[in-house]
Amino acid sequence: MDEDIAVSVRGLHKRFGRLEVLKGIDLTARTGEVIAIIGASGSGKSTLLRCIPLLEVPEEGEVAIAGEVVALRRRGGGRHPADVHQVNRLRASLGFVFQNFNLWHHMTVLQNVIEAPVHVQKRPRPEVVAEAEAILEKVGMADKRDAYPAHLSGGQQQRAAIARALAMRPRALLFDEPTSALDPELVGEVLLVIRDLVREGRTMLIVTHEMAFAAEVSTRAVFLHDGRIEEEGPPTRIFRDPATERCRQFVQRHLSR
Amino acid sequence: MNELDFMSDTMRQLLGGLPITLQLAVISISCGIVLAVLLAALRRSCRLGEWFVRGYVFVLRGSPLLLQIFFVYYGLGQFAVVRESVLWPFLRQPWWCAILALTFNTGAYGSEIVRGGLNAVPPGAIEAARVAGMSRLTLYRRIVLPIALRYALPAYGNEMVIMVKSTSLASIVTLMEVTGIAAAIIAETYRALEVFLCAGAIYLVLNFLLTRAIAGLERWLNPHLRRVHA
Amino acid sequence: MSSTFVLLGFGQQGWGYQLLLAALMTLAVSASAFATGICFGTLGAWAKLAHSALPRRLADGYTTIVRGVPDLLVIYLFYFGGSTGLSGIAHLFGLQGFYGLNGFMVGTLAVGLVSGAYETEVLRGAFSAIPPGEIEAARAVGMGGMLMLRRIIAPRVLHFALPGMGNVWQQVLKESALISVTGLVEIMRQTQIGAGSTRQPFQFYIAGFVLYLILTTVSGVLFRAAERHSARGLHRT
Repeated sequence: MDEDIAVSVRGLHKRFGRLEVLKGIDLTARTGEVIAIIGASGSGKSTLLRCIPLLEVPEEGEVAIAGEVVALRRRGGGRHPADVHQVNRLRASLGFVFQNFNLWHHMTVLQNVIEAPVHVQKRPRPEVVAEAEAILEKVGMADKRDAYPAHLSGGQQQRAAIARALAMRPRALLFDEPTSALDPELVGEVLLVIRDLVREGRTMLIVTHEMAFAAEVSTRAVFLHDGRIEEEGPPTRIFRDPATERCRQFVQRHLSR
Repeated sequence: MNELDFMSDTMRQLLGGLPITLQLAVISISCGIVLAVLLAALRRSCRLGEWFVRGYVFVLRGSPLLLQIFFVYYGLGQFAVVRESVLWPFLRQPWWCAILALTFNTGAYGSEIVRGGLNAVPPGAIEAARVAGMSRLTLYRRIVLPIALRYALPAYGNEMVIMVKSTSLASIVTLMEVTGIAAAIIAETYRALEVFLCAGAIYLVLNFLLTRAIAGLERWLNPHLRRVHA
Repeated sequence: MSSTFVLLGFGQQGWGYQLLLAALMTLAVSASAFATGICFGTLGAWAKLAHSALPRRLADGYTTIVRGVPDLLVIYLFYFGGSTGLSGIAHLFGLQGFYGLNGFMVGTLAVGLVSGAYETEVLRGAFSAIPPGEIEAARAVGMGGMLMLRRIIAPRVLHFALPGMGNVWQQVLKESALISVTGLVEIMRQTQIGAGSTRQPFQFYIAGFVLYLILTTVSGVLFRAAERHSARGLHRT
């Protein structure tokens, strides 16, 4: 069923100057799936994730969210979104969590969380605030609702960023290396939150280096190499007994940490 | 006339020029801010806009303000087409010429400050806003401009202090603001030091008040920079 | 249009020579004021870095007051009051007569005093920016005060101060236009004279713009080159 598909990309090609980073990617995420995207630096995994909300526009290929294809138009040297309103609407239906949190420093945690629901989704403020406080409670940041990002640790900031993404009532959550910028002792608290979200049955695509965690929570794993999907399948296979040599070497090197 | 009497009398006369000083400062600073934002926007819009603004800033920052005032007051009046235009009633008056020249000048410096503020907005903050689906307008209104303002404020505060002092140049085109009156008193009495002290005191108070106001505004806008008390 | 070229050119009716001389005068009085400013600035920076509070307070007072009042007022102070002051000092020494300050001296002192306040901050910041380790190393090899000042401190201060000094120089160049009120014939005054004489202020003021823009642009280029030269060996290749 098409409604079953939260996110799908087909035939994605992305170039930066002369460097081709994505060389033809097909990927489908069904509702409720948790897809771990792994691979070496430069394999294109972040670029792939960023193509979904059109933070990067692929030169070739199609991006569809909940069955709706993003309209792109060729102009000048590359492609641009044909309908800005469609892009913004689709972006608002997703939740994106950045490696560097990217909280808005001039706003408190609560203000960060309610900003988009109020100003983009145009939902009534009292309702948004109530929901936001519940979400902050869930990620363990309720007591920091009036704190400013500069006063928070990395782990706290990332949890606030996750709350911000959740407040959008997203169809799918996209995580771009959510723990890579954190000190080792703070990684755990963020993974805890993500694990909770998995338990809720949310649709998620996670680009990560945390192999053990990915093996534990994902329902499907995708190994990217040099801009192509080298191997794809259930985590039991990918992480324990990969079919390709490259994947095997990669997993071995990272899992033994 | 003994010292104290002289100085209090001088003060009284000088304060008579304060309204004009304040008018010149307030009007040129406010119009200058608007102009600065427009120029900064124009600079980002297209190639032609960028070239125009860069040229404009180059000329206005590379030449003395006094020359700019003279140019507007004396230079434009040379042309019949200006004298016969609907603007002439304004352009023949030193007050309007001074406001015009002061505004153009602070607009140039201001646009560089605004540009610096806009450039200082972290790209990550913009990306987070875009990925949440914000339209360009909402992005600028809620994220870019508030952050840029906070970065630009200290430098702009400095520019405002400079503008208050620059109003003194209007005295050279016969406007009787504080410095103009001071010059007249000195020329008459030759008691330069006393008059300087009185006039200087007025400007110092003005600048002190202005700096405090700006600092207060900075504190109010930046609760996130205040030290956290553990 | 061709009449403009005749007007500003170097011929019989042309004002070219006068404008050129005026430009040289602008450079001269600016250089003189700038040098004076460096003297004041050095004193001020030295006072601000002193251990005892008195020099620091005095220097603070100097910079705050001078940066808080319009430069035009300072010029008027020296223009009208300078002669009185100078004559007064001369009389103290028993000398008779009137000692006046000409426009050049007024400009040098007034603009020098004002730019000195800004130089104080520039030099103070530059001195504070020298890594203490470099001074320690100089002491460790036995360098005495004068030698260390000459070979280590001064060059490093100069390196850090160059950008700020470049800014102050540009300020001084533009401020020299205010000295025209004393009658000194630099660019501003010359263009006024030409404008009044020929009733063509527009052309003369445009010429003034061109001259000032040349001066500030060339200054910018020279200062940037000096900064690059000063930074040789400091950047990884």
